[in-house]
Amino acid sequence: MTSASPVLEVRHLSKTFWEKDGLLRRAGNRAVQDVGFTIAAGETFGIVGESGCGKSTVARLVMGLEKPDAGEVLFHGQRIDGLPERRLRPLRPRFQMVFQDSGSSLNGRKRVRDILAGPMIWHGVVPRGGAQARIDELLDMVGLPRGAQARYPHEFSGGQRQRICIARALSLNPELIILDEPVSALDVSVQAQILNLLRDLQARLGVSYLFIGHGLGAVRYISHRIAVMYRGRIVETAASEELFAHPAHPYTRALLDAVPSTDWNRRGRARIVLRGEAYGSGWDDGCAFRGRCPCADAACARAACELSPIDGDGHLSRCARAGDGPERS
Amino acid sequence: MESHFGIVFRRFCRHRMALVSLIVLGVMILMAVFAPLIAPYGPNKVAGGFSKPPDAEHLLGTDQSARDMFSRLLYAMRVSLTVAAAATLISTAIGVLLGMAAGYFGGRIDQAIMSFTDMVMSFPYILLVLVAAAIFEPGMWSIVLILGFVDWPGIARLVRGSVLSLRETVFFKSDITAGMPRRYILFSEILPNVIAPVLVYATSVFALSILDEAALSYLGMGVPVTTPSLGNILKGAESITILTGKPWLWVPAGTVIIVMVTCINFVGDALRDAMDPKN
Repeated sequence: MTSASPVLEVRHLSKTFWEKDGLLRRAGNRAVQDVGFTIAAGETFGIVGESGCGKSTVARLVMGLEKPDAGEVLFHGQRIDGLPERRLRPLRPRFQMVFQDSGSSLNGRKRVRDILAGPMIWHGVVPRGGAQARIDELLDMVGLPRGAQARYPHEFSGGQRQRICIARALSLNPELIILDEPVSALDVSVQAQILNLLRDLQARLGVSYLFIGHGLGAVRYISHRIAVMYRGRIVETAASEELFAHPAHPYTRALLDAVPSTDWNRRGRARIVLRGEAYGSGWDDGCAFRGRCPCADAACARAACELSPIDGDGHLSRCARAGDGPERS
Repeated sequence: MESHFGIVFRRFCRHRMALVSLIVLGVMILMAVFAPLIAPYGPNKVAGGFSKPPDAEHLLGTDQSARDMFSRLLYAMRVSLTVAAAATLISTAIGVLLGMAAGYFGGRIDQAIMSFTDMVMSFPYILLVLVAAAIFEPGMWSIVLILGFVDWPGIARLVRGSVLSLRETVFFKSDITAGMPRRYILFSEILPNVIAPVLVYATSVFALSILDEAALSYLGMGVPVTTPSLGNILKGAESITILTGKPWLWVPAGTVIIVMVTCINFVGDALRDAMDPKN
């Protein structure tokens, strides 16, 4: 596996959720529109955005928990979207998922040992009855005492349960782990522990992550590259440090400005403060962010900008006015 | 580190009435199981005088055919408990399987199963039993089958509801993403989580089955009169002279039914409390 053949490639992914609204009329929520990205081996790709921006839907589409309306999901070049579950099942050990709610993602009636052993035995990672050594190893890896395996999930704290979830995801030797807001429900100090654990595991195992979060700090800390999503679309994507050093899209800037900072360099420019709620139905052709954007003009209502390169290093932004607007020092 | 069963048992023991009921029920079941050892006479053996009131030799007297009522009662409990337990087992199995299938697969399978369930539920079961009794050879096992095929809709609905809510849990989705096969998800993850409500519901089905057997046998549609059952003993007390003049022929059987059903319901209520995860 070289960076030339990505572990995961997502192309033009779109998903609309339809709700019955009255007898004939149906209300549609364009959760994901034309999302695309790639993840190389050993790389962490972060997706950040506010609640409801579609970032978790992307995770569910990649995992095959939802079927996309359009677009492709390729795992090592093989299309996995739209595969029947029967054909997808043998591939599933290779890409695992960790959910936000560690409390309900573990069956409360099973001991940790059985939770970990079930998938490993079924997929033949360990022989039946031979799971013990592997369970000890997994608990060591995620920093839990070996005695934890005899206990039930409710006996653990949220951070410890998330470690169990990570151990379960690792148990099948995946090449990719999709982390759907794995630390959002945890205390800040515990968040740091889990993020460090994830980084250590990546260094040891070379596993790739798709990290989804709404906390900028966490996403920045763990990701090599980051995409910012707004109203179902990627509005900006760049290498992690580049994104934070030179945010191009007004929404990205607003997100960064919302983080309290002691960075004196930022004092030179006007802060962008988001006002109001998300704007419009998302069904017109205009830019979805224009209602809250300080640099929007009439052109933004007529047509949304395409995701276009800012420089040669894969920094893309969906704003033709990038660089305009409130000046940075 | 207490096992789930241990916690449930400890909570159950807090209900005094339920604990007493469980003991009473246990004694009755033991008496029924060991009826051939305990009973002084066979159930259909002519043992002494006709219609004699209780005395030292015949603890509960004798009936019009000179059979020992105590022995008959023991065998009747055996038959009635067997019928009720077997019927409950059948209806629980049908209900759990259909409910899990409906809840798990959803869509048309769900629609088909639930329409069938509603149909069976709305069908007057006495009519069903009359028709079935006319078609099949009457006997203890046909009554088991009839009761078993009538009592499952409630369980099916209950299980379907539980499965539908389990489907939304994250651990169900994490089983899918772990690539676990359908049978593992159904029987190793979902089934243990629906057992608690099913067990509670099954106790009430068990109690109802005892009553149904008694009612059907009383109507002459149940267990054949040659086999002693609680309903059949009551059927022998139809005339007003027996009701008023020979209470030993029907009071013990009636009491046994009342005590059994009451005890089962107490146990069911305590189980419901003990298994409620919210406590």
